[in-house]
Amino acid sequence: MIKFKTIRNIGFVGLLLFGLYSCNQEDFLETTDKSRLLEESMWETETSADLFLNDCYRDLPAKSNEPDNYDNFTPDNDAGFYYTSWRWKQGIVMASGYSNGNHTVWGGTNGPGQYQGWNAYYTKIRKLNTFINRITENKANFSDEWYNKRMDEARFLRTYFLSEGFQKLGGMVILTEAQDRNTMTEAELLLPRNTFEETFDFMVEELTEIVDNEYLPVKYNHGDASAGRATLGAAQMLKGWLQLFAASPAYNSADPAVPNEAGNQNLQSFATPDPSRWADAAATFKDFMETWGHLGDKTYDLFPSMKEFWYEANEYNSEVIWDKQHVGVGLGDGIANTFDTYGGPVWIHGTYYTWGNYCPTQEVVDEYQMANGLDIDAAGSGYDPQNPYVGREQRFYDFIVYDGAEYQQDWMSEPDIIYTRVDKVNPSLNEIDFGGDDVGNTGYYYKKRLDNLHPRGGNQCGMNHVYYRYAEVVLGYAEAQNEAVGPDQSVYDAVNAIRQRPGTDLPPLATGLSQAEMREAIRRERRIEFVFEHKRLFDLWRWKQAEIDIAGDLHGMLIQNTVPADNSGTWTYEVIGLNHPMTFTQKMYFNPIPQSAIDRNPQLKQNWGY
Amino acid sequence: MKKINYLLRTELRSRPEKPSRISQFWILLILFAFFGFFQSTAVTYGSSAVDDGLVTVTSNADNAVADLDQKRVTGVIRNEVGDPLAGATIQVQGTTLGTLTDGEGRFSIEVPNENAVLVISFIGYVQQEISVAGRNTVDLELQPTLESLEEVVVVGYGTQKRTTVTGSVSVVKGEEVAKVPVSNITNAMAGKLAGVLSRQDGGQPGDDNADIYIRGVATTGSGVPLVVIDGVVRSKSVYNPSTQRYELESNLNQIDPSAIESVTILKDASAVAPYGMGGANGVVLITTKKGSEGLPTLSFNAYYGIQTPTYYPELLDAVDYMKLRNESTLNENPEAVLPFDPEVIANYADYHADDPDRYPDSNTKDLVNMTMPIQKYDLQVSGGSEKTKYFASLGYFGQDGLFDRVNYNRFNVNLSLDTKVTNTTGISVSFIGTAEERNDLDVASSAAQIFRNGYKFIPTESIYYSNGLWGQFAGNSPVAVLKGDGYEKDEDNTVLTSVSVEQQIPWIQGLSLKGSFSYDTRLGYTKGWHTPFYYYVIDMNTTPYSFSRSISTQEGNVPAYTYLTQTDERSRSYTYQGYVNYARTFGKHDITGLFVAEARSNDYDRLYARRNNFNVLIDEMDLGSADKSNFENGGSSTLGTQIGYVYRLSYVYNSRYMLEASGRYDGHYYFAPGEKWGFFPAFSAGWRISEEDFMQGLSWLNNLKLRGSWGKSGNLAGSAYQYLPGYTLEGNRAVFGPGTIVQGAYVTTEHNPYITWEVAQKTDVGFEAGLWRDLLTVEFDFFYEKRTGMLLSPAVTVPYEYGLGLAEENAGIMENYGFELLLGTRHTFQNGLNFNVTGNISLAKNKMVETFETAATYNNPNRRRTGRAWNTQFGYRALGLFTTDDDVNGDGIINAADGYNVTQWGTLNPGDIKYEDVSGPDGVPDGKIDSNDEVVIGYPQNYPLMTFGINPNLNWKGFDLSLFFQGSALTSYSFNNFQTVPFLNNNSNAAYEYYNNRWTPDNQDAKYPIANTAPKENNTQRSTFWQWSTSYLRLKNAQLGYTLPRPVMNKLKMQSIRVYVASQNLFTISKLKFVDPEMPYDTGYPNMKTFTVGANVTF
Repeated sequence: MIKFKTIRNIGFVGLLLFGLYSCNQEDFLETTDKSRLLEESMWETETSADLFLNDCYRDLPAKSNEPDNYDNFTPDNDAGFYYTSWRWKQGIVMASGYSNGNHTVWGGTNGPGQYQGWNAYYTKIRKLNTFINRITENKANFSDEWYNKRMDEARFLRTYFLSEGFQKLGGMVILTEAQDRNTMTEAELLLPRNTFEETFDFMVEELTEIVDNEYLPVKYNHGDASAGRATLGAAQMLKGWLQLFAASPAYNSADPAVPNEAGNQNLQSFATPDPSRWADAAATFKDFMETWGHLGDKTYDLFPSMKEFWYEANEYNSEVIWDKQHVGVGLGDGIANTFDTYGGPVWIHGTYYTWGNYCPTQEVVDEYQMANGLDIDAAGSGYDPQNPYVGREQRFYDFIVYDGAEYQQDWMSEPDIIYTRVDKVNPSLNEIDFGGDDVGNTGYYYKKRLDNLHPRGGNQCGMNHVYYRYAEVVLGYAEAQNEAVGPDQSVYDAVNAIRQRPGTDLPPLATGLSQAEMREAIRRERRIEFVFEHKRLFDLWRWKQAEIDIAGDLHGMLIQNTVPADNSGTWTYEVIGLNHPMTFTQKMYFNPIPQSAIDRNPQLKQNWGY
Repeated sequence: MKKINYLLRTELRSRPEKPSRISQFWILLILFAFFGFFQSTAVTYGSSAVDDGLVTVTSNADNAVADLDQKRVTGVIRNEVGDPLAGATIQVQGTTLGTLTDGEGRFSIEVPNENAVLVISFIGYVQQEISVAGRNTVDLELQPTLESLEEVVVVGYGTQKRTTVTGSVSVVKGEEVAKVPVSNITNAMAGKLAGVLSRQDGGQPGDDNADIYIRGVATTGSGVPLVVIDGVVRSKSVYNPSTQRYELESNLNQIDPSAIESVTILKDASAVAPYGMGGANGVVLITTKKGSEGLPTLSFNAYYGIQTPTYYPELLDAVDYMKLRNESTLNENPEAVLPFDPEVIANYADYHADDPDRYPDSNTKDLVNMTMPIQKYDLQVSGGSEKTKYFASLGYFGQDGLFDRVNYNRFNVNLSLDTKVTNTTGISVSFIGTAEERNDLDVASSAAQIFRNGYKFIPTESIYYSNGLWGQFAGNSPVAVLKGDGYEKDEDNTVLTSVSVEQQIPWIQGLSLKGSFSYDTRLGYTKGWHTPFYYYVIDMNTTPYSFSRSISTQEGNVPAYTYLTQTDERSRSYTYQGYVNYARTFGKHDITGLFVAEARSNDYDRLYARRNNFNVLIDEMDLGSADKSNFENGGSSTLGTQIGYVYRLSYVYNSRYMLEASGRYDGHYYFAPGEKWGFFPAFSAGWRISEEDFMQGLSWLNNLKLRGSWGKSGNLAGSAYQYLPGYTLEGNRAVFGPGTIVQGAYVTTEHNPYITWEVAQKTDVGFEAGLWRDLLTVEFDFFYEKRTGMLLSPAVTVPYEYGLGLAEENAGIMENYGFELLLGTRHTFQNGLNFNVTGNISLAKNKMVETFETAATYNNPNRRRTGRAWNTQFGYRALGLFTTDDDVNGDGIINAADGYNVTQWGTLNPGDIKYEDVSGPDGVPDGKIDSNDEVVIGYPQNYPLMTFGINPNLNWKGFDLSLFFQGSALTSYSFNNFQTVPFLNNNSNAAYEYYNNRWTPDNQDAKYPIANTAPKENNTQRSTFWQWSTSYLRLKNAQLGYTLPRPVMNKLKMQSIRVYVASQNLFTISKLKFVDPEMPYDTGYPNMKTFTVGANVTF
């Protein structure tokens, strides 16, 4: 009996051991990674290859989702101290530290381009180069139509990312294929920066080719299945803008923004200034207007209402050229637009909705003309400093929330009146409080680009972020043409097209302006039209205006009653300093190359002054 | 619960002579009923779910204890020098009858018959058995266990005699860790076990595990040890992207500390080699309790206590807050309009008393429960016959959090059964089941988040209005979160099971085979519910004031809509082990051999769902919005496998010379085909010098053993499949057309087909000594480890423009070395006072021998990473604060006009931090503070280099006192946060720590810089200024107990009752006075100080 049991048990143990031995060990250890796609399958079909390019579209900067935006770096906005812009406007900017550079416009602790630093751009560019290399190698797997289209989309995206770096840094390292450290020498990997001119020429050539190829559609309209992909319009727009940018005095003059001297030879400006670059820009914009624009087949045209331009329902309207698509489901990462968590009145109907992040300053408010087309300080403008919000041009009411503004959006059952005044009798939650709460410091809030459909909070906004719109073609043409030729009729027509857009309805410009007067008119028009669209900083830079404008204190509007006890007196309006003095030093016309990038590639030349 | 115990006790008392009538079967049944009862109706203790019938059990033929021939035996038990031993155990062999000696060493016991054998034992002394045949008195002198020859320690895949162990292992008895009132043993290990470093990183119930490292941190990869519970690996290392560290995920949480028999730490190569790729960071072996032969022993342990935070920040009240705001405003602009009217500040108390809603004075501390209960109860039964032994326990642990609804509950059941089915065949079954529930606040927030909200709430706003409604500041309302209906509930059910069959081979003496199978499973269930947060806005225009309700988005981050999330997770692991064991003595030669074949696999899958916008507030997935855009779901699964062949051969000659070889041939699914297998051998030797003839003359040295070991072990790092090229596919990547969300694919990093494990080469030499008959015991180890093949990204070897993360390479090399010293002493005085003290100190220091760094840091001796400890902190060297004297020209600004030519950050004023211009790019000071000026500014962050523990114990006349001091040294932390920087985050509150120590013109030699309305760039740089030593000495546990004297027990017919009071983290000595040095940051959930009362009752 015992023996039987013993034998049985030994058998049992033996079986266990045998079981271990007999199972194929390598098979047992061979498990499948179910989280990834393999190299072969990735480039097998158009559908799978599309997945890769999709991810490159994701890389488009979600500029609305960054709490510190480019306008915070200008005197148009006053923002909180925890942002990079706060330090930058105090003149604190250095190359060392983070991989993006410390307190640079594109990085630092919380800059507007936290995902757009030097390394981030090159990560994106590498992805596009990989895509371009792979679809070329596997061309046989794809139809020509697909191949041509996707190739040009990829080239456009690559140029777009490069241009984002170019505008902040000058000459970039141009890479057109994915580097491979296994086959390339150190010299091939450690490349110096291309000059300002080489970078510029590369981008313009790429864009010209894309436009000439005509593989891409001119424009996608609302409801098109491919809306959101690159178009000919986007390529032409970007080309025109880069030409306008580069033709500007900061880079294209005998006295550029920073000295063009040994060490940074031609990295931050053209070696030879050439005024004809203005004409190139004008030609590009003119071509756009006359082929596809309001002077051509009207594929692109000014949208009739500036107020409603931003609404989700108006995505891909006639004016939209190039944007980043968002959807407002509040799920997933980076898909929703979070802009209105940060901007707009803080308290609406007693509920806290936004961070009050961006406070329009008195500086920008004073730029808005009266409805009669006159500047507020012009004789006969009708401006009353003690009643400053009456009789202003329509864009003021569309873009800015001020004391006493009636505020109603689609999600609100009734309007709210936003008060920013200091009122001892009927205190308002939005009362200007100089930084004590989240409410504004200046007495103003954003209205432009806010979602009309959803209450703030929860990041449910689906509005696209528009990088370029047709008004920029029109004003770009006006500026380039005025510089190249002078204020001819086509310049007037262009500026007036913007001023007389339905809904904006300003009188046309006075006739007989000199070139310099026209320049001023165009610059003011750009500031007003594109306010809070991240254009101002680049304008201040390229016009070499920054050291003039980014200086001194910023201002807000303090509104108090002369008899605060019972409001029986009158409301007085006093422009006050915010105690946030700004400093701009010459080197700040460019960002530094992050020191960590130079540490890795000693071939990279640092920008001037850093 | 009380009722049940009462019933059990009544039963015992009513039939004192027949305690054994409660048969094993019925006890198990009761335990099961009890458990089921607990699970189903956790609170209805008073119900009649357990009826008397279950307890009124009938006699069982097995347990016929004759009551004939009873006689009484008395005697005195003394130690080797003739002092009486108090508390020695006298037990009648084969029964539960027993007693303890009193203060004079006397005992008296009734024995059933003349054949009875008394077993006399006392910890630290050799157990003696003596037959009572023909004697009525038994006087004995016990001999101390110089080396308790039979004592065994648990080692990898087996046990070894303590005397002949050649590896470096630390052991602590389960009762030592069970003493400490904590939910899991990670918080009871530090300082108890030499070589274990631990740091408790927060005290949230159910989430308060300490980080454990064995012999420091020896790798840049995962440094977490392996946890082996009852012979089966039950842990893994998981990378946490949010903390950027590898964290230990183990079943330690699920083990009731009371059910632990012993904890063993394996440290050197010979001890860890059997774990192959899992052993390099050391191994924690947990053995749970098993049954022992004898009549059933039923014991009940309970404690109940309260907890309070070890440190809690003192934030400014309204008056001081307003003063500091005004001061900081004036510091920036002497002409500025003051934010607060000085008249109001001066009379604020009156205003507040008059109208607290217009002039609030809030203290966020009011939101916190400063005393929360913690409790634990367990019931254990064990016993058995020669053939079958059993152990069963039931436990409950409950801990409440600082906020209502934050808590942790755990139910444990342990069953262990060993039976001999034949003379040569044994079967063991064990079952450990745990049900856990963690509750936290609303899923859109968390308890930890409320602490941040506390700093963010300023005292001049109402947390609560006078009418009991609650207010807000900047849209935040901590009360709104606490009052909301939302929750996050996490339920885990874990079952660890093992079955093994062991067969002696009768025809080969000493040979046995064993097969073992373990199946562990965990079902995790997480449900999160968010409902909008509401607070009340006051309207002071009406009389009386009116209030309107509003939605809070908590800094704009929390949705104003409802949502529900639910996650189901399942993980299972299977372990198959086949053992061949051989142990035989030939004369003076002892030979043992062990071979184990082991295969493991584990699979995991997860399903996640979420829905938004519930029209009705019912937390059921189906009741959310029907609009598909409000739906979200996800899921994933993994499968991992490992095979290993373990061996250990040992040879001992004459109990003096020991040689051992051990190792493992290990295969793992992480790596490429052909690259999966590794071999990890180790060798060790020992010499018990004290056994040598020439040592016998040294009476003061009773034990001396030298030992040494060398070997290799491995460590998995990184993640599985790093050898495969591939594209990561993710949803929600981009949007095309009318809102079509598309997937995207991308390459995360390059792949490396040759990726492999880290290899640790460990060397250890040590000795153990006992002096003056073990009056002093010493154990010392020196260790040196070289870790090679650490995964490093060679990213710095290509420019950023390369644009792709490079594959990690097995390129890193690190050295780690240090020592451990244990000292122990004990003595029993004439008056019966018995004391023992053990102390240990461990030091572990690492150095990166090979790492990737750029020329910029490598070529600068101040900044070089190579050759320094991992995670060494770099920053600027602060020279103190500028004084008003530095402002030579008196314009309030310090610049070149005052002779100060160094560029720091922005405008400098008196009271700002001054930095040393150490160097420029060329090695000479360049008048600019930038990265070239960085120097080493402290010890490596996050792990102390030195830890120590001192553990004195006193026993006297039934009283026992145990103190446990634990500490760490050579550690620092960069602390630059809410408590030391005023208005840190958008006008948050400040703390008195800053307020009382800030720079003002009257306090130039201040601890903290001048007050600014917002943190100033210059003063928040990482520098020596903010470095704090986080060395500390802490009374981790203090316990005072009293054991009821024997006569009382005899009257109660119970074995023993001990009652005690205990405290955890009673006090801490540290330079850092305002935060817990174990957790030196101020927005986490604080660590806890507890006071408990408890009892251990054995029936």
